[in-house]
Amino acid sequence: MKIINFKQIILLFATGFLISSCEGDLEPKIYDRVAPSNFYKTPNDLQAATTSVYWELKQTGWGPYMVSDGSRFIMNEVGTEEWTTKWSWDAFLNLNWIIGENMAYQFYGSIMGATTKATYVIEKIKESPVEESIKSKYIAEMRCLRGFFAADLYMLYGPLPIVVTRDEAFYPTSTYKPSRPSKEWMISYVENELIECSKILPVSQSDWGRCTKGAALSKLLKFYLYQNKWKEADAVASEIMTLGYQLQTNYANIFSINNEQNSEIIFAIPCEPKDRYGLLWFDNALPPDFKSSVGVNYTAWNGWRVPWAFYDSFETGDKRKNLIFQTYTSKTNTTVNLRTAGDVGGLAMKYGEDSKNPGQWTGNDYIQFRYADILLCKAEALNEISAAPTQEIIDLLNQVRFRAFDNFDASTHKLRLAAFATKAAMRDQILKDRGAELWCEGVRREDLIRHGKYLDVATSVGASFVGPKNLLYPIPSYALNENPNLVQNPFY
Amino acid sequence: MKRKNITNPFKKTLLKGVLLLLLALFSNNVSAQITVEASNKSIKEILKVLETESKYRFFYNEGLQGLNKITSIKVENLTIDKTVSILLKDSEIDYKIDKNNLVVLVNKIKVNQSELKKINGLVSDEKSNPIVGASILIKGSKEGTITDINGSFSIDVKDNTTLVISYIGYKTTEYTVGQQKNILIKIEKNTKELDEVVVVAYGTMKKSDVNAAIVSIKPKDLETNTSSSVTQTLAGRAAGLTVLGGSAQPGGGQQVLIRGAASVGAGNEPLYVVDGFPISNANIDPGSGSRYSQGDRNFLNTLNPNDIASIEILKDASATAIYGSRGCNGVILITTKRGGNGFKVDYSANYSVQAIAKRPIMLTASQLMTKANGYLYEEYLIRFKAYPYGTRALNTLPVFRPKYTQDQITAAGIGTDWYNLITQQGLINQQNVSISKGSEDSKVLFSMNYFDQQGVIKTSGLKRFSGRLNVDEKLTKWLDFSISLTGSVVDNTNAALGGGENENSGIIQSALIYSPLIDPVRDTNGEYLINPNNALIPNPLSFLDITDNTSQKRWLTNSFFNIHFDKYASLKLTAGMDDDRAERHLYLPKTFMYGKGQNGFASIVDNSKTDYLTEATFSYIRDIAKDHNFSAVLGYSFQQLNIQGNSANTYDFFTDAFLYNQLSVGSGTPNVNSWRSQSLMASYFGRMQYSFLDRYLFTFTGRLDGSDKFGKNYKYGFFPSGAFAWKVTKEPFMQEQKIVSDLKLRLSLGQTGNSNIGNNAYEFYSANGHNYYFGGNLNTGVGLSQLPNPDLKWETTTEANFGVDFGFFKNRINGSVELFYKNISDLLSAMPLSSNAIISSVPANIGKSESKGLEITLNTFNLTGEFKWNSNFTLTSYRDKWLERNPNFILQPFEKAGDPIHAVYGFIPEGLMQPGEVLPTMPQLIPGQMKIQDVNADGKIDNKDMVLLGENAPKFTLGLNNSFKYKDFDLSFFLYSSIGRLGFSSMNFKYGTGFEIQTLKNGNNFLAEIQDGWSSTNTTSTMPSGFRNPYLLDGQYAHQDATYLRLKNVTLGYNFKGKLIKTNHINNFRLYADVQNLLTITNFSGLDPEIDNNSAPYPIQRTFSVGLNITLN
Repeated sequence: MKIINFKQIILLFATGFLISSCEGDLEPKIYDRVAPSNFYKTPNDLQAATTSVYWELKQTGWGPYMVSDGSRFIMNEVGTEEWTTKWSWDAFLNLNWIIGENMAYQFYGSIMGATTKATYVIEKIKESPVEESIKSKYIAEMRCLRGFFAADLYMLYGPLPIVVTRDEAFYPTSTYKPSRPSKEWMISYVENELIECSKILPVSQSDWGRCTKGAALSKLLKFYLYQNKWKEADAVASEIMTLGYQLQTNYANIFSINNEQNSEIIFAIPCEPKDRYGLLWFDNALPPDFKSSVGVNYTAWNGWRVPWAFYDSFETGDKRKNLIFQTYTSKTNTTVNLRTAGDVGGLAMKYGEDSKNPGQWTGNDYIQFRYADILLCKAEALNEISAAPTQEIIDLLNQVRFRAFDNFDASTHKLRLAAFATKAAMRDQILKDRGAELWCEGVRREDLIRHGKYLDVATSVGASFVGPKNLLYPIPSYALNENPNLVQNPFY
Repeated sequence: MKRKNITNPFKKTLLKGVLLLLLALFSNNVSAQITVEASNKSIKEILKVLETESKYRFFYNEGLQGLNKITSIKVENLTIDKTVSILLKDSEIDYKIDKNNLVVLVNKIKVNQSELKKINGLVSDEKSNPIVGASILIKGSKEGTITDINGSFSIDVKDNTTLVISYIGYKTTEYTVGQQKNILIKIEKNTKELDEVVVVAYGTMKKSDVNAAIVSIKPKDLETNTSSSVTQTLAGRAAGLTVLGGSAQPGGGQQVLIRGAASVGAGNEPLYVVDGFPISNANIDPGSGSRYSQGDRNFLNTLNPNDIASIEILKDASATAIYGSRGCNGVILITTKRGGNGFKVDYSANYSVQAIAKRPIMLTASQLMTKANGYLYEEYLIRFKAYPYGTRALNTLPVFRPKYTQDQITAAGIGTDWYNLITQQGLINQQNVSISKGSEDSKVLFSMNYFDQQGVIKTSGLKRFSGRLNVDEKLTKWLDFSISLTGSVVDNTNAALGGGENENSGIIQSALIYSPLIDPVRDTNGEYLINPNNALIPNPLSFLDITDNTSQKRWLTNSFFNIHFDKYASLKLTAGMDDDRAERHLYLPKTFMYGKGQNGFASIVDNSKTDYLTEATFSYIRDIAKDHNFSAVLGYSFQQLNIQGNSANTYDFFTDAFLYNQLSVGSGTPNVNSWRSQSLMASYFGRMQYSFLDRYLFTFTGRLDGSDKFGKNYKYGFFPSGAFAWKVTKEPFMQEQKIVSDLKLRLSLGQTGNSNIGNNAYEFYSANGHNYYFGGNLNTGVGLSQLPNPDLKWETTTEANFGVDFGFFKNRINGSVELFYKNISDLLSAMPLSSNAIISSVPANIGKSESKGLEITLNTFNLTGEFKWNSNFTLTSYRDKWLERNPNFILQPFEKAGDPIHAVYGFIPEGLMQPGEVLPTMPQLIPGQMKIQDVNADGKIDNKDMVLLGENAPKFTLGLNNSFKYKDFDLSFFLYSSIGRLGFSSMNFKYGTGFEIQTLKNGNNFLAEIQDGWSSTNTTSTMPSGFRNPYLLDGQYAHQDATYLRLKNVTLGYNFKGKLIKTNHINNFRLYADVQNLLTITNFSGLDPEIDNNSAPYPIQRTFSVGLNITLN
């Protein structure tokens, strides 16, 4: 055999070099993501992880706790007397929520997963080496959010098999096909979570927008009311009333962009006038030729209206009605009267205009709970507990009504106990006051259901497919397909 | 066949060792056998010694000159070939090793060395297309050469030598060399035989020796004048290749499929290999930036179609297994033109105008008002349950007040035709120059291309500048190198496309539905008028104010050194780089609704892909002995793909004047982001070919691929294949008959893989924008974004192929038939998890599928006289279906485990409900709505009543090209047909009466056909009334047969060569006119049976072109 020549040396050398140099062990390099071994290790990690759960509230600005299609707000306004839309949402507005109705899908789709996410983060934090005091604060916030999610799922869809345990959150499979839990289980779960986290959460947070004791208790209060647990509701309302919240003296000031984080607000989703971080209120409400009082050139989709019948139901002189615009100034500086122009209702201008807003995303923090609502809930609970209306109830209502009228104490607007002979009369007044105070705040359907009036009201506003099914939303068909053990709500 | 997964590090080392050993072995002489030593003896004497020492016998004439020459020889373990060549090195004797160990000795033909001169030549066919692999022989001698891939050759000859040029399928031509140094030889087809060199993976091969399923396409067959990318022209040109759907926009992308699409989650795109560089299919077109789609774009837009010399479609596992884990969807080898001997300039220019082939007919303003009144009247009858919707008498109803009075309707007239306002005539201007120059040792090709297309939708367009430099240098006897380098810039102007609804409506969607009652004018703020009753949709014309461009810059280079050890063995060291960068610049001005919302919005996204390739391939080709031909390729390849990018956007601009050019002008809070990822692939591959008697051909290939994408337990996968072919016509018993001129039977079996999943199989957390403000401070959210799957592995395709190549009547009729069967196991996909989980899916191997198909290619020379007529026909047919699904994969109630992969499910319509009809299965249905068959007879209509209606893949696709030639005229036309695909026109369903027409009340526009919809006054109509059918939320019923026949191309050309200008330098001067997409015959009601199926498709065009080709030398 002849001696290997130099060309062959090149060959062997080059080939050997190639083979040995590049390949390595083919371990992937991940540059722009965090490896699991390197996360949940520091307080900053916990902050980042919990932030992603807060994000579920608003998502890209069109999220489940904001105001757009498929949000809790829309789901709690449809079929009521205080809200409608000009868009062609015929099936939804007619309460024709057959399976597949997108407006009923989205909250379920987002929040079932968000609940699991909260569980995942809670369980990961538990296993983290970070100092216990920091961990317990974050865990309490996550349990509070998970309590919100679970409570709202229950109130909108009924009991659902939410994921609240470590292994189910950590190791999801497609074979996990749980049945719907009992009402009792879900109720006690929600109540316990909110009670437990409220014991740990601070009354106020230096980071505005984080869960507080008041936030947890407010949701607990609403959840008690939904179940007609009046005594428990009364007790929780009383507890909230010790936390230092105060009514604003001027109704419009509650929602003013210049008076954010005021003492009436218990929990809000912080918004900034920035793409995906703002509130889409004005976009949904305003007609395209609306001229802003603060010089904003709005993206205006001309959807929402407050129907004239509701507009006319306010007592004379009620200043809260002023935030519903019957007329507006157009860009050509003419006054447009919506009523005479044949429109279905007025403009819901509850939030104050944000001059920093470039046009679409406004910086108005979106209020979830405020103190006036708590006082009215307290009044309602007391009325149900008492044998007959009491002065305490009247005082609570008047406390809220006070700022709505000029010269209140001398006026006929100040309620007097004598005028309410029965619990039922008192109950009707409370519902009416809740409407006047909390219109377009995403509570009306819940209130009407509690008072047994939702189906009648929906029928009276022209919805043509009203039935007992509408007390709950339908479970999306994809969820039923993937899990045959999930039973659809009645009448769907 | 069971696939092996080599994971043990010891095995890996062993494998490297074996490879090195093999390399060392092959670089020496495998079949060394002769050892002889003699000094100062005559050749004749040494021959005698050889005869005794070996089994060879020498045959020669005793009078052979030079036999008595005295010489010395010392060889050890050499082959007979080598031994004899050493012995006869300086003698006048030539030799030939014949059958039965016989060596024939003859005298060399004497050539007077002093008179030799080198000439460069080019061999082409009648159309000046270069002939690759033609043989050039000096008449009366054995000396000669063959032409290279550009048809060029060079040879040393004396003056007045006659060259004999032969090429299979062409008439043997003689050419006498005069004084000239550069010659151009044209040869004519003789239609008797067809053969050529085809490019295969890591090499080339004579077509007659190919035993795999490969189709070769020459660009002269394709209509590249008006196409930005070569893939736009491939439909119907190659059996086995299917081109589906895609966007009709300038530079639009199509789905190119080789042998169906039986992969469900890992993509079905073939692997493209450009001049040996496997192109990653990572799409770098930045899609982010706005809520609109920029449409599908062809990733080969950066490659000038005029540069392409040949396209080979590798179909079966024998051809593709050497590409291992990327080979399962077939491979498209693209080879670019290279410099030839001599000097040549090609110039071509083309100018085209485009018109929309079919435009949607919408309601005019007065038609809309009339129909809206009608709709409101029906709504009024429904509300009061009057006839035909109930029993209440009309005279008991309150008075109906129409929305529009007759005077208003008359005054409205046609109104605004928005579609017309956003469309224009399309224009294409293309200029191409290619210059090639070369000698035997040094060849260069340089080309430049300019392509400029203005789309039929305003603001859509594409401009390309590209250049190419291909260099081939022979440095010394044993070393040569080649460079292929192309650089291009593609500037796309993006129209706001897509089928999004409401606030996501793009320009076409908006133009379709925008109210014709609105005037196309701007208000005092410079904004176009908004329809207040449908205020989510921007005015169609306002889209034209958007500035949105994507600029793509690409450098693709692949270079190699080739070291020749001897005439059999060589080593090729390759290095390549694909550097592809796309930048999107977007500005939404204040005059556009969603720019106004942010007071002007500017965004820059920069995404780039850098893909490095290093390869070493060792080739060995030799005839071990007469009748035993052997060749082998062994190689190692390493590829590293890097993707990175960054984006910045901001808003709130005091003026629109800056666009995106100075982001700091925007006073909003800027968003910035960046990303980076990498993937590696390391591969070992080899191919061995052996042919016996030139009748029986065997091929074995294998590739071991390692990738970092896969789970810990499956990093490496091995993909083997084998093939056998029998050239029946080479058998002695076939020599007598005259009918069959070519018959080859081929059989192959092998495995290939698919690793085309986006991410790897590891768990990680991402900061994916899940951020939140607390107290005015933005907090970054980080969440789980992928779950791990350590068992994730390649998708493996096992494929068997049976093929027949045939030719009759001296190949006047020739072609091939292929039958294949593919079985795909470990299908890669995203396995959906419970919808309650944080991550909706995990990458997993989820089942098995199969694909089987038939491909026919037929070429006929119908007339061969002065009037020539050739036809080429292709037929492609495949069926993809599920074999097995992971039991944990949740099926819809209407899905069955063994369904076709491209299944279309839907309801079965049963006609419209009539007044008085009672339908217990559909209690909410009102007269005029479509009845649905209760298939499972459970008394209600839901998704359990959906059935398998068909497939959205064609059952057959056919292509038929006919070309005619008479004197200097040429004419060709190309017909394409797709048969049996089930289509659905989203546009016709949504803007006809299929879905709902209630937004008519808001002034939204609809197709004019809705005027014929069912109503109380038109109860005989079969078209639904347009009230939303509540039973259609899960599915539809309006699928249609999308079979069509299209006259895709007609070209008429005339060659003026020498007629206009008297010069010897013009070899070709052809003017032509062509029409594309002239005629489509179909029953499909949508705009087109082929284009992208969203509710606002980019309209397909009819293109009229004129152009010229000039060749100078």
